[in-house]
Amino acid sequence: MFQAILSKEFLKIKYIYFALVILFIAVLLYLYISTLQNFTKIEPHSMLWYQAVHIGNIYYDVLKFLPSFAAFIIALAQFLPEIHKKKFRIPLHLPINQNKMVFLYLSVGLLLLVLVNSILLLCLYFISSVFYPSLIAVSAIQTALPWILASFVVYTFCVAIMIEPYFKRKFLLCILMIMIVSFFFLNDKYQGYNHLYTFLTVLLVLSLFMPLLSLYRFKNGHYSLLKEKSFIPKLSFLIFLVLFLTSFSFFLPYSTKALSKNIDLATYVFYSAPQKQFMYKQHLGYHHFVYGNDKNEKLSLKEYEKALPFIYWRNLDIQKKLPIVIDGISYDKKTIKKARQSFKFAYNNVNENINQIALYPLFNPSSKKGIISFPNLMFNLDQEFSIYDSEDNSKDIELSKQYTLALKNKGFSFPAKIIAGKTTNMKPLDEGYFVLDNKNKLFHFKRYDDELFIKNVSYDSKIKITQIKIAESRKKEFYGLIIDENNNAYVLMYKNYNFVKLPLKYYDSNTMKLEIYANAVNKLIRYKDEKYIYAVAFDKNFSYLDEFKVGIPQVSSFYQTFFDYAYTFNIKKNPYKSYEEYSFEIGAKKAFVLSFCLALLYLLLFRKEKKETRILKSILLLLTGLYGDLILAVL
Amino acid sequence: MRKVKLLKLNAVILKMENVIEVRNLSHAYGKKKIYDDLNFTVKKGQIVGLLGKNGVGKTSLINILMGFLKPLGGECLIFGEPSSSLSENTRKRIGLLHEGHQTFEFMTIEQIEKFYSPFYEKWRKDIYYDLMDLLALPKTHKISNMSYGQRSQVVLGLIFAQDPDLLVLDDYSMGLDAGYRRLFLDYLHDFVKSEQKTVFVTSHVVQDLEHLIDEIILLNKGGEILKTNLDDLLNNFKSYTLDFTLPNDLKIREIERLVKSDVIRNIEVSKNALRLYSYENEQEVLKNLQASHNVFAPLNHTHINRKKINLEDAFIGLMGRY
Repeated sequence: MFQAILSKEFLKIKYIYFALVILFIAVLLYLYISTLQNFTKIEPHSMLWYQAVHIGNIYYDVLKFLPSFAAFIIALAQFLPEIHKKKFRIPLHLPINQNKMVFLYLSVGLLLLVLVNSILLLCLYFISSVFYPSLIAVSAIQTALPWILASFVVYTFCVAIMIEPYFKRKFLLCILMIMIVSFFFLNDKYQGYNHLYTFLTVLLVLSLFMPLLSLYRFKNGHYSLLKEKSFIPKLSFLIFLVLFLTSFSFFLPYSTKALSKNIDLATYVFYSAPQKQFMYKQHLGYHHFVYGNDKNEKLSLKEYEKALPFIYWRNLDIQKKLPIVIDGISYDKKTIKKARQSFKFAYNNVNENINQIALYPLFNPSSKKGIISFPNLMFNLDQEFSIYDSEDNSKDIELSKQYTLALKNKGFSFPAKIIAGKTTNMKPLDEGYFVLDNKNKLFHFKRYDDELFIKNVSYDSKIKITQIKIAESRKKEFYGLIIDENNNAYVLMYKNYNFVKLPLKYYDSNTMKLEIYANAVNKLIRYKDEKYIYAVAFDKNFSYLDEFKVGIPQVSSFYQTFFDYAYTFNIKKNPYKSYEEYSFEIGAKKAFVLSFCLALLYLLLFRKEKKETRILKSILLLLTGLYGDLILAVL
Repeated sequence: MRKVKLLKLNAVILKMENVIEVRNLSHAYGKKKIYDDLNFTVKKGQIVGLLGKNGVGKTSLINILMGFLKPLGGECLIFGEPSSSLSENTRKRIGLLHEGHQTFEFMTIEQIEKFYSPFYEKWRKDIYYDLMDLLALPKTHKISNMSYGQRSQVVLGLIFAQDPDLLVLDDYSMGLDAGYRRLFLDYLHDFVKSEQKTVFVTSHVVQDLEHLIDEIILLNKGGEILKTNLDDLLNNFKSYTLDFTLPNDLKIREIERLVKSDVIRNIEVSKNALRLYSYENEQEVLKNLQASHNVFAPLNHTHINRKKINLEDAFIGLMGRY
């Protein structure tokens, strides 16, 4: 019997499936040729590696929707002949369990999808391996995996939509499919779903029940599932509701938040070198600005600009008011310009917040040349100092050996925990990389004139380094910023690799952006949370002078108010991570008040309904508020 | 104690004899009521025709009986099982012809036989290929390339090859010309007469069923039914013609309304004649006719003639033309 069904299904689909395989091969061939062309055009080849790793260019995104398209076509080819004139009744009358039969149909489609997707993954791996190191090829597979999973969801939903006998429900299933499938395509970074496979798999497994629900409705018409005694239809209906709730509780708050983000009122804080006090500028909306200082005095724009000569030095230059004298020292245009430096460390620089392919360009500037050219070689510090030559996509075994030994001789233990460096060649100088080894030892290495220079940086062993970001400025005052596990920030100075601890009381590297501004007299560090901007002023050697915080004007937008009232819970994307990570969040009390009112209203207004149904629906409204209301409206 | 057991056994036997059992069935599409408290049974070995005008719910009833539609109320039992959840074994015993002779058109004559055969232990390959031989087509011929009649033959072959205990045929005559209809009926006849097979059939060509069925269920709008033995119907239901010209000032509809009664079940008015349907004899019909309107007062027994009735006449007589 099983064989009969399997061969019938294959019979129905074979030509279309064959055409799909041809299409897949054609697209993969196109990918191969276009990648080959890129590698022929661009020199050095490592530039393309860099683009794939550090710019996040997904060179294979032509494949993105191909599996879902295949799923759609397979579902269509398999079920269109079945639903035409309701022919699906023929197999339903066969002496075989009907759920089992639908699963057999689905298994054929899914199996064919697995086959065609395997071709895609294998070829993607092969094409990637020809041009890129295996680290990138593996990453490509991981990135393409959600696209493959999405195709299975598309398939099951398309089947469910086709079997479903009523147009309104078909439409609802379409909406649900779009929402569920969107989960698989929201993130456009590579490996953006590495931490979400469980969620995606659960969605996929749950969507397998949708064809069963449609089968039940095909057989029974508009029949209330509340009266139904058998388990599978009830379960399928429950899953249908769960999928709706999941999608609504993500996408409705997600879009509300997106709308409320339009109001972004910026507040700026600076430190006035001449007046030795903080100045701030607040945007109150509609281009209305307020200026003030840390003594709570309101200032005019003129007073504000005058207090910040190192910010508005161009005006002073035009007005021929340069040089200026502060504390008896004169600062001319050149000094001011030279002293300026800014450095940013944001939550998206935090290693845990991003998925990074650990492949870095091994710069090799020539001390006789002004510009830093992009190197052919890229490296990785997992098992050893692996160096890859992009010209022939091979490992430089000799150099790898040599550099591994050089690192080991300095006491380096593999694998590296942190590799920090600026991976672009568009920089004034190259300071190479700061690397934290497996035993928390910090090393600084750089290569120039074909030589590798390694230094072991000693630091207080109590500091457990979690983040490093490199600055690379001609001023050569500090190498960059270091964060430890207690969220303490340190400036890593050029002088003796000193760690200067910064007094940042409220700083959280995981969620905040930190900015360092340097001028000829001071250093200023700014960071902010949702309510305040915090500023700490230092002298030019990072000695603490003063600190200040100023509130960010809170404009309660309509959407925020709506958000607070409407959603009793929501699935929230972690905004600080570049990859998808979701959490479940219970809504504000206001939302529960509203949902209680909705439930009560339902109980009172819909008295014609059966008591049991009315109570069930009221409970749904009480727990789910607006989502439940929407579900009741559309069902 | 023993008596109770015996009674129970009797009840089981009686129940088993009912191949189809419809009890208090009600169904509606929105506000449109299709059946309300519909009751009938089909016993083992009976050949029952379900007749009714278009749109009265014949296909819906078949759908309910075969578990493709859940009724709003009542129950339907097929071989003692609720029709909405027929077991695999019961489905195996039912040969179902879907309305429009539907089948998998992408298959060939040979492929479809190979597909069906593993599902049925009693599969009669010979019956199937006997019918296929009549088509004189190669086994590799695709069903989608066949005419409507040829396709119906494939479907018929598949159903007969199942060797089912109950045949449910939903409008077998749809789209078939007289030749294929006759062929279908001949095979059905042979099939049924040999064993104790039960057949439940609907057709819009009423005349065909006359030589096939022994019980008839007439389904009227709103779910009203008449279940009767075909011979009883043809023997007891009568048709009378009267040479009579209706005066121009009288409206036909009005006359029809006045004449129809428990005695005169239906009246057809044509230019120079009336046709009346009734279970009663001539005198009774004449009496009722005269009582209905004074325009009929001059009529006497010389005007009235009894005509031989066939199933189509009976159908029109009971259900009306429109």
